[in-house]
Amino acid sequence: MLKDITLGQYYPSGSCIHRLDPRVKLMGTLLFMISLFVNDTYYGYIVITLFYALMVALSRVPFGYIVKGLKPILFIIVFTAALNLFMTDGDVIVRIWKLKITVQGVEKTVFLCIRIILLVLGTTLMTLTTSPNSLTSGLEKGLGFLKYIGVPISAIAMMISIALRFIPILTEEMDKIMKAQTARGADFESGNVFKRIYAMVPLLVPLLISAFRRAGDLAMAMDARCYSDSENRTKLHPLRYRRADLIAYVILAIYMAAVIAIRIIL
Amino acid sequence: MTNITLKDVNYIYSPDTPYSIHALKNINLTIESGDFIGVIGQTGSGKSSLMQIIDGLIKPTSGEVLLDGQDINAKDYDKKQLRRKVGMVFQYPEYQLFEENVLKDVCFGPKNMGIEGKGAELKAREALEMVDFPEEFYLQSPFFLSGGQKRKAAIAGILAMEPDVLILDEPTAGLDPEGREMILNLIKRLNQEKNMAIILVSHSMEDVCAYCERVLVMHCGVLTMDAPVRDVFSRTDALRGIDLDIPVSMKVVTELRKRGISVDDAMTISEASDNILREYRRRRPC
Repeated sequence: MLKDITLGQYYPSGSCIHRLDPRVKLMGTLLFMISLFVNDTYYGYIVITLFYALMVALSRVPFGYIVKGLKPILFIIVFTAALNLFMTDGDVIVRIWKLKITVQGVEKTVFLCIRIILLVLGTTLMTLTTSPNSLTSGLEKGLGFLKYIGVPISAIAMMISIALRFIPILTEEMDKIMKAQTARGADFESGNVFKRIYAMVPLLVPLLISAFRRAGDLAMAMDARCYSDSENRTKLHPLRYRRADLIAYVILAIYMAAVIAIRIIL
Repeated sequence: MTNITLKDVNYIYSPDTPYSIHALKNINLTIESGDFIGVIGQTGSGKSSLMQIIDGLIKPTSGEVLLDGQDINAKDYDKKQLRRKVGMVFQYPEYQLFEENVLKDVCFGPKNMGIEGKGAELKAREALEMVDFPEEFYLQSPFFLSGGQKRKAAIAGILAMEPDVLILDEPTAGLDPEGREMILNLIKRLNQEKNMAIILVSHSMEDVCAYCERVLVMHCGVLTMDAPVRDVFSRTDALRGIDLDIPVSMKVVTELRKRGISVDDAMTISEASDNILREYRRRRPC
């Protein structure tokens, strides 16, 4: 039951995409998303899809794994598709009772679906190829300029990485507590809503207590090593651009230019 | 009489992903009432997975677990029957306490078994007495007790369900010597007086040696040994080969033998000292 929670579903394959600087991948994902909204033709989608397919091939992540990322938003896709399909005015093709499907509606629906699907697939590829920790350090470094206007960026980055680190720990803890209470005959799966909510008490109380205990321990351990975010902290593996990263930026620039050119010309 | 049989049990964590782990490989095993079994093995050798398989908390990827001849993972099997017969004390069981007072928490198990009100309380009181839990703390919040008392309360929570088979995953971890002995003696008493089958997972070779009659050795998901305690601990080299140690008493005995003094195997310190004394007297008759 708990193994469905996959936040930071890193898929290690050691490809060249994996080895890229996280800042490149963050920027790349951002540009990819922008390109999806810049584009307004089918030709553009061909370019975008080809580019995406190339990235997937380079990342060596099985495509089936990436498509799994679509599952949670399936409802949103269907919902938007249905709304657009039936609510757009124009030349009517079919009429069912009070609903009508128009040429423009179909066109808009296909467009939107491709856009949403690629949007999700794009971000999924990033989380699959970037470990949560390097993602955080990428964000920290990439948004580092914000500290000059008073944003405590390194504290935020530390909070994010602690939070990410705690997700698997607490999931494991929850799993353990759940098994322990199941062994005592607790039943989490039958009964009505209220009964089920009440059945969560034996899970949530120990989980909360353990979360607080761990938070206290961690705070003390950090204190004992004189952690402070006011100093300029150095890193064990500082992010440094390599040649591959620069090449990736150039490829991204060319890609972006191509998408914009298609929009202007066509 | 309760009987648990494992037939060709395999267990794989997260199969079909890059993280899949073959945690248990072809385990065959029989446990009967009155058994006192110790389970040893390194961290990650599959001990905990094996215990969870026995208690039906995880389903084997292949193979069967039979409780009194019935497959506990069959669709039409009533798991309540299993919970009543097999109790499991997890590592650090005090982390599962949640009720506002100790008595209520111990009642949780019996209540889940369908025993209402007074009946559940009666069983809870019995269990708390069994673990020597001081009566003045019955209505205290479990979160303000000392470590040892919390552990006792948590174990009582399992005993209140009156299992025939009791699995304990390192029940003495993090306790002081007094607490350890108290818990181990309690387990021994349950085995002798109630004929409860005990499965004790432990990293302490001394404890396993002193209390258990039969020992299971796990290594990389394989059940490498299943034999009486003396047989297992006399195979020093085999144990050392999988990075397990032997108890201090056996270390002394084997060391003496290497120097040509023939002393009998000893499972406890006192047994070792008796055997050494006997040999000493034999050599110097006066």
